Amino acid sequence: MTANAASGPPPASEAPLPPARPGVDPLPAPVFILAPPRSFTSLICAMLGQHPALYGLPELNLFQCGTMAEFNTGRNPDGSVKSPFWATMRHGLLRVVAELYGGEQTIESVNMAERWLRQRVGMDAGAVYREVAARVAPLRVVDKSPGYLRNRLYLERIVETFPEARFIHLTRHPRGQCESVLKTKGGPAVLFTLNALDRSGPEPVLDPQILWHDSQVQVMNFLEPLPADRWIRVRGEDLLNDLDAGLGGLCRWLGIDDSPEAVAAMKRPEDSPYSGVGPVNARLGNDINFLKAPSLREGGVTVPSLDGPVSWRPDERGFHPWVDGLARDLGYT
Amino acid sequence: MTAAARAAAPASSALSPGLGPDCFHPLARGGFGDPLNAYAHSMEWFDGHLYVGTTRSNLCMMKVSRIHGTFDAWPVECPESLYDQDMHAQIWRLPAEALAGAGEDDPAPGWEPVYRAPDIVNAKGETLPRELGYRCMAVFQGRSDPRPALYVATYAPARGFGTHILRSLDGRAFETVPRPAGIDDGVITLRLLVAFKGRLFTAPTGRAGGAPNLAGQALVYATDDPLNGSWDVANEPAFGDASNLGVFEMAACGDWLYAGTGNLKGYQVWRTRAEGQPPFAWERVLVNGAHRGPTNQGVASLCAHRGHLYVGSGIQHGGIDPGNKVGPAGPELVRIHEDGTWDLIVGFSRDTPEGYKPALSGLLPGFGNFFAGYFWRMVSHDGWLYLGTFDWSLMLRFATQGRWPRRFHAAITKVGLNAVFAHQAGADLHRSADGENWLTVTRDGFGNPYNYGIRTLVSTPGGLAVGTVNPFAPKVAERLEGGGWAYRANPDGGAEVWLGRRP
Repeated sequence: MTANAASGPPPASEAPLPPARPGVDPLPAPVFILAPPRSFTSLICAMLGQHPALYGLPELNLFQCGTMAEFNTGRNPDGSVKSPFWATMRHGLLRVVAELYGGEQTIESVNMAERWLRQRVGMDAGAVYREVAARVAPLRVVDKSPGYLRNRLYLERIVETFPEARFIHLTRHPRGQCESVLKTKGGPAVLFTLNALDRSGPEPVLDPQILWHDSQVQVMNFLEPLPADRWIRVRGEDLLNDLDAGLGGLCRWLGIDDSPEAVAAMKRPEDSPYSGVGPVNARLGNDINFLKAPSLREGGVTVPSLDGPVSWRPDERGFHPWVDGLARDLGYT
Repeated sequence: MTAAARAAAPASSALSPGLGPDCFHPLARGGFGDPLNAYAHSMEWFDGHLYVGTTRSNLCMMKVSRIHGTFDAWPVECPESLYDQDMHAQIWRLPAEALAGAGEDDPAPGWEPVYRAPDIVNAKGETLPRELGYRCMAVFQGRSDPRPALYVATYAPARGFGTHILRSLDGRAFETVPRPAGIDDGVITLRLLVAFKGRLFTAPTGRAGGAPNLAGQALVYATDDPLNGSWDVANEPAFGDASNLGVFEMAACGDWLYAGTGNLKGYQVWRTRAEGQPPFAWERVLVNGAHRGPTNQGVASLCAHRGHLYVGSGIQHGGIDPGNKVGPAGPELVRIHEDGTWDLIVGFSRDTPEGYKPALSGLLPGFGNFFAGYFWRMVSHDGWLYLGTFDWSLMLRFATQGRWPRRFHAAITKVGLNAVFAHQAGADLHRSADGENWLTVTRDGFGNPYNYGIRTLVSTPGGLAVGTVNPFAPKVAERLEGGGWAYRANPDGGAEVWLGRRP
């Protein structure tokens, strides 16, 4: 509709969007959840992301890349393939771009996101991460990309990009985590590609406790030199079995509202735009089991025991002493 | 706190969902039941109604003009004399309450014909419609208007008395008001009426003799009192550059009024704050078609969105201008910032005197559609920028293939004409929230390939109104299996109006 006086303040819907290519600061410090797969990361990331001051992301996997050329091609600078699952590991970022820049996650908006990625092929992956963070600012992004634990370099890229980032070391009992990995569609293949093989016997045995152990050590070694106020360790089972205390505690640690209203919002992970299967050209971005059933379940979480044989080994051995010791250090019995 | 924090966040939570394909419903089809209403050529929201001005039987007009395509068969059946059919332009309106029921009935009930062009007797004694079309509308309140009025600019017969400007206070009674003194009877059409800082602006668009888009004078006129005809020239003729052949489009953005020209070296964009007395001080923002050259021949559309001005280009006569040997070439989209700097959004990335300009959308000209002739109309609606195109692929059906350039012929043969029609025919509508990242609403004229252009887009309180051009009526040429052509009735011919709204 034409108006006589075209000048003057624009209506609210005409307000400029945040800059597409932001400068360096200020950006609210993101929150990264560090844990191996099947450690409640999808659920807890989505719950945190429902806090009014936070924005939960699917797995972006950006810090597995130095450049967007790496991200787009799935190849390392030396030409090697990053992961046989790289095509699906791009789904998280595709869904985020589709949602943030297109307002929807559809085949069409994911195609748009692919163009968005191509436009940034010459950029550092960290710069693109900052662009995403700026897009949702003043909300703080919450990320959980278990792939970051594959390489110390990936974790160091986080602090290079976000020196003030906060980290949540999320743990799960090794028995529950290992059994869950093995039960998950594609889980054994992931274990195989991550070399979670016990070669001490005459035949290699797929043993998920290797991944559990190495992931925890990777996280602990990474966090140890950081200032103590920058990270926190949370047992996933404790959090899920007492949500009010667990979520409230995390809010206070992050310095954000811990009111009952805020905590209530966090108990609705299914409200996240990423809590569901995406369009056919970007279906995942998160654990498929979570995507199919993202709501909190009744009844809490059972904490298993470290004692006794593990179910996945044909030799009926229990946990390796290193795993047992580390798990006890983390408070499991 | 939840709501407040989310509201403060300019992220996806602040990005209202745009209008996707499922959000659009037909309000009118078949030219409001009169398929000679070929173009929904002008549209405006005024006094609680959606107004649509039509232009009649454009392809038959083209047949008798000096603009000729090379066709095996003329696309539509035309009478011996153009005026053997009803060529009186019409204005229709639909009340606001009818928009709420969009999608329930097809077409929407409640359309009211409020105006039909009167007859005139020309110098030769011929009785003709005074207007063949209504090419633009604007709501404006001049000094002598007791309240905002609907102003309408006309498309007049070449053998008539030139273009007029109509005015209505009640949307039913339309009177002519004086046109600028410099606009003589040879100027048959005005394409723009733009309100800005208390003045109404216009510019001559086309002349009789086969030049509906080139008036030959790039002059801008302004008045604060159109009822009394006190028009002033608002710019230096042709902005001091004789290569500017006309001012084709104008739009306000922030504190600036922008004007886009047609220019065989590539369009120019100028702007003024329109302060003081006319003629105003203007500054040039873009030249040489944003340094693409002749294929950015004219500015077809301008639109302000989120504080920026968007510039859509086009090549006259449907994207191919054989007279000037320009085209085909897909249109480009450029964004101008308040400080006068600019971005290329859709088009060919290139070096320019202002530095390297990558196409920020990652899209080639025409949104990658080779058959896009113009970015014809844009509108900012509910936080989204919508852009409608003209798509000439349907005309291949009637074209003389032997005259096609060899490479083009080879490409079309390889793809297959039927595949082109199936996947390309019909106008495109695209949308973007930030102006850089674009989604497609339709690529097929809302499922009707005869809707080969989207000419009008108006943001209304009831949704986004879209007007199409569809001159393929009442009978369209059809190639017979045994050779030759026949004309058959086309139930899909005639302008359409669609409404996009959230469920």
